[in-house]
Amino acid sequence: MTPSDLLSILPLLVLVVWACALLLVDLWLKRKGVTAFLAALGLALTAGLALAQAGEETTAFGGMVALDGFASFLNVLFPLSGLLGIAVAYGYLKRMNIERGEYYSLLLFSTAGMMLMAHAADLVVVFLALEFLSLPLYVLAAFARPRLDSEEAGLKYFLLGAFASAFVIYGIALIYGATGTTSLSGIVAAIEAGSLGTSGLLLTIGAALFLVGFGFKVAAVPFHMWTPDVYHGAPTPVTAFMAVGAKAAGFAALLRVFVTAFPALDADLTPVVWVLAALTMFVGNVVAIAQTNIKRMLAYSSIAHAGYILMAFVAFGNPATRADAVASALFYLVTYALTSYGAWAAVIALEKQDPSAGSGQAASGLEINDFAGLGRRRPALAAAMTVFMLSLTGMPPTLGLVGKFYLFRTVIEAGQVWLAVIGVLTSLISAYYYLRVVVVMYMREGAPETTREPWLDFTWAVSALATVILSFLPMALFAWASAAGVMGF
Amino acid sequence: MATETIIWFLPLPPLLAFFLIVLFTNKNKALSHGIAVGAAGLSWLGSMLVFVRALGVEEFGKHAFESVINWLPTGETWFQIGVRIDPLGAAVLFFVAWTIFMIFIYSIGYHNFGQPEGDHDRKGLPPHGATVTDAHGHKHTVPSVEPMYSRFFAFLGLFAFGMYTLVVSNNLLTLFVGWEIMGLCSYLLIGFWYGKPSARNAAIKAFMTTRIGDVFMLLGIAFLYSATGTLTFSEIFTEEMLHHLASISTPILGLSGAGLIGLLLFIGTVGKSAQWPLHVWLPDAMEGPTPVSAMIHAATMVSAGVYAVIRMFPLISLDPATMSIVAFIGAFTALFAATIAVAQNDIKRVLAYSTISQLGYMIAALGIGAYVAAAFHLITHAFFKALLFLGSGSVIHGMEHGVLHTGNHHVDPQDMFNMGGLRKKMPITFWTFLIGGFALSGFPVITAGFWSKDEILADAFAHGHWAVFITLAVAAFLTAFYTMRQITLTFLGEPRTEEARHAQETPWTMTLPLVVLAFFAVTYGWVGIPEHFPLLGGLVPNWFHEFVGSTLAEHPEAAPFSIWPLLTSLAVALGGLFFGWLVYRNVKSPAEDKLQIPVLKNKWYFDEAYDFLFVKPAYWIAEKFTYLFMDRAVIDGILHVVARFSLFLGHAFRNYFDKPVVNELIGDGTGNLVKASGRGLRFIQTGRVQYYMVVSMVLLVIFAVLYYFLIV
Repeated sequence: MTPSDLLSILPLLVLVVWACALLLVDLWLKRKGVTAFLAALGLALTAGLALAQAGEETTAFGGMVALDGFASFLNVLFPLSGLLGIAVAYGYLKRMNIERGEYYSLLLFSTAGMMLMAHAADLVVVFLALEFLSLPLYVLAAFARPRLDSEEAGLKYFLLGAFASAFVIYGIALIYGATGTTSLSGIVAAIEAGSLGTSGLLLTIGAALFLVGFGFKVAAVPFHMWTPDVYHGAPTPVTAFMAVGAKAAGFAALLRVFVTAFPALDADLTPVVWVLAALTMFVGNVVAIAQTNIKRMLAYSSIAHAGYILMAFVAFGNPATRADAVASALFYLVTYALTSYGAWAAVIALEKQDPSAGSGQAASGLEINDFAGLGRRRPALAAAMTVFMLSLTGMPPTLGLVGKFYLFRTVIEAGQVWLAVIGVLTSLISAYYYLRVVVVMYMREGAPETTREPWLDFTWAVSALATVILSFLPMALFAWASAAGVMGF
Repeated sequence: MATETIIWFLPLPPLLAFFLIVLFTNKNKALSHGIAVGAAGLSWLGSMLVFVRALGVEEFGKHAFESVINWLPTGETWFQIGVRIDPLGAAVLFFVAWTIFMIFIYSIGYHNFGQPEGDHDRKGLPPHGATVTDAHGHKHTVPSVEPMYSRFFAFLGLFAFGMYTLVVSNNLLTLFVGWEIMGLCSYLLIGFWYGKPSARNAAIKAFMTTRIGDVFMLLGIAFLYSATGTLTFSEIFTEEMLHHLASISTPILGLSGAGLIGLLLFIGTVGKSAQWPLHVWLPDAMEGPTPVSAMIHAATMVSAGVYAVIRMFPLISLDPATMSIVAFIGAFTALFAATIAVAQNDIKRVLAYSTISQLGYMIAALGIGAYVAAAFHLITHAFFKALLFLGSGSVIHGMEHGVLHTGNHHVDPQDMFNMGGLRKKMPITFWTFLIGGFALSGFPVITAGFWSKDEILADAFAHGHWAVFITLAVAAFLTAFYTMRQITLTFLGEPRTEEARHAQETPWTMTLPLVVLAFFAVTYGWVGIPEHFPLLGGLVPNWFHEFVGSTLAEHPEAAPFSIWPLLTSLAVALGGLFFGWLVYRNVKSPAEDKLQIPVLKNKWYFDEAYDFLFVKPAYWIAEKFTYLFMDRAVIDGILHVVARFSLFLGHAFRNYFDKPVVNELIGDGTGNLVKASGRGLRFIQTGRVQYYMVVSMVLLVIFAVLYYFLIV
């Protein structure tokens, strides 16, 4: 380990140290607002450091960790999503009587795990990062104890997470068995050497199991069933953070590993990913129609969006479109992160303690019908929510349209026209349930009780503005995502 | 600041004003109009700065201001958007900035800012007046402020954004975006008084009619993009690209690719600039407030249609067939609309038909290749037509004052036969209107209209386009005639009604723009005096021709001087004015007007014909075919069959399974139990983790097996 090794993961290092320190400092802090502020400061510092690293290309720790465009792009995205996770949570935790300092430390640890995932150039590091980001999330999902549904969500998430990890580690073991290495560059070298013989099958099965394990993490059908329950039960800010961060980290691992190490398995695995993407888009969107609870609806919507991102991923083996595929997936992740945080912030603004269930026992205000009359009561919030719904559908003038456009174009370039057709058709289906929220907000009578919190209002207002403005000026983001499409390793 | 940066920012102030007014200041009238006028002023200032800098550039045609940014990635390259001000753009920017700014100011007075709220004014209807009691206890009716004052300025702001975007665009895509934004604003502003059914219908008619043109235009843009891979003007107008376009053949009318694209783009202009046969919406659009008529339906939006053709001229002029169509439609419209204008009695409708006719003039000029003359007439027309509309608004305002005074609301303040003698009541309005009217008629030497119109006629004459020349000359005669008719009926003679006797001059916010525009209606012509014109030629260099002509790659030749077109334009202008005065100086009522011929009065029955040909059949198809046959009979029929079958199934299950088996066999007790544990059961049934794992595993195995048999 040399100083330059440490320097290459400096943002990550700072964040981990900061999180540990915060955990200690929090003991002496009476006002949790200070903890939140310190946590946000740490994340902002991390994001700044990561931004300063942009453009560097190097590997460290004997090739286990990579610093390249891909990593530095995601290393900015993750702390920013953590920042939003704090912004939406601060008032919420207070309101729900669950204001405890460890929320912030856990969030920081999980973010650090995600950042490690972006760096990972070795399957062992991938697994380490997976556990590092997941464990704090299990706890966060159960954070609203003694609320039963929250505790249940935590447990469920943990059990299925462990189940998924088993797939991943089994897959890694088989890959190691076939190639004799866990480093991504080593795997490529082994495949290129052409000496695999019958262990080629072993490698394919290993890669497939790896895909299944991460299929759970990113909530791809048919490994999605935990998602609605966990998203529904977990405290809403945690759900927002999970929906964005954990999903992005899962895709980071999939993209990195498949694009760099497994292009040779293209012929075997592309049909599998194709089917996964198509199923995910279809099931996610169709089942979402039947939901009456906004959290469950958004959960299915997040499943559907995993399908869209998987779609870009189908082209992982095609060297001509590979960089575009990664860039469009990353761009779509940003699109989804921005929009979905905004939508969750709107949900949080309407959520309140259920007065009939005793203090801290249950939450209410989460049915889609509870949005009735929001257009009159909170015109700005309703307008922002409309923007988010339009963006999730992929309609102009929102970033969702640009993201989908870019994604579909990549898919068509890769020659998967039918998959693009399925994507467009399922987007059409999705308009039904997204626009229903808009209809309820503006055309149904009602008097929703909403919360006004400065940071929450800030989150949805900024997300809505960014969603609209970036849709007209997406050039810089495109350019940045394109730069991230080239992976060093 | 770099000129390019200023150009990028030109459209933004009005857009910001729109959002500010809509979101924040709509309750405060003064603040709203302050923001809107301030924004228009800012854009005006920027435009003047750009214009002045453009004048200072040597060989500006070759070194235009241009700046592009990468916008959307298209495979290896980017789709670029950007701004460009070349000589044509600078000249257009000049008149756009002036007219928009003046009309913003005028709107303050027009909507009675500073007057009390109306007694029973309602949103969506024009203000009816307010009763005030003066110091002596006398009650007066005075004009009342527009109830939706801020809304008006917000829309104006959005419109100005669209127009500026169109002018600064360096490509067809953003040009089209601006074009459509203006279309939307036109709709919103024609229907501004949506409480009036006529205004609502006019708004819909305008929107639908222009939409026909827009769809064709979009087709043209799409064709152009697929043929060349770019929509940027400077990339299209290169020799290789134009040659490539001209060499594509298409299955339609034997046109070349360039010809077909040109034709499709031109159809967009036919809709936007209200050319025959899509002219029907513009006269109805006069239902909107008068500043709207002046800005959108005279000076800027309808001019934008002509601007688009001028802009695409290098492409359109490639195919002679397309050029013939353009020339025919333009010349025909010029004459046809002028004949209708002769028989209209509504002061604004006369101007509306006059606008259609004058736009036809420009289109005809383009059709015969008179590029510079068309641009010149576009600009002079924008100034004097905006002036005339604003003047007519001022007249109507004065008349409304009279109506409020007498209290007789049956008198139409827009009917010219109710006016007369207004020159003494409204002197500023009279003199400026006279200048505008003379400019429109082409009154020799002094007015701008003379020079631009003369240039078109000279061009037609010089290149031997006799049909166009004669048609336009006749149209010019009619133009002078109906203009003098209008002036005579409105301002000369004695007041014909009590209302006209009590008309009053309008406030300075309305008269100031009139004076400014009148200044340009006279002087703008002097920048384009042909070099060989007798006596005057050469005194002032023909700046306009040199400047705008340099936009084209090949500098167009100025038409050689000939005495015949000059004599023609002198004769038609002076003759028309004289006859107009002679015939109408003693006419007192419509009954004495010999030209109230039914076919002209009814606009050649085009509305009726379209109603019969398009609207009625569309209703018929919607009602009889789509609704009664398709929906009710076929689709509902199928649905009913399905529904009956489901109902039957449901009943069968209920009667033969549920009731006997479930209810009676298992008993009602279970039902209560289920209800009680409903919450818990939901988790057990759909939320069990083991169940999830099992399902995942089973599906995984099924997948693997399928995969094995299907692919391996």
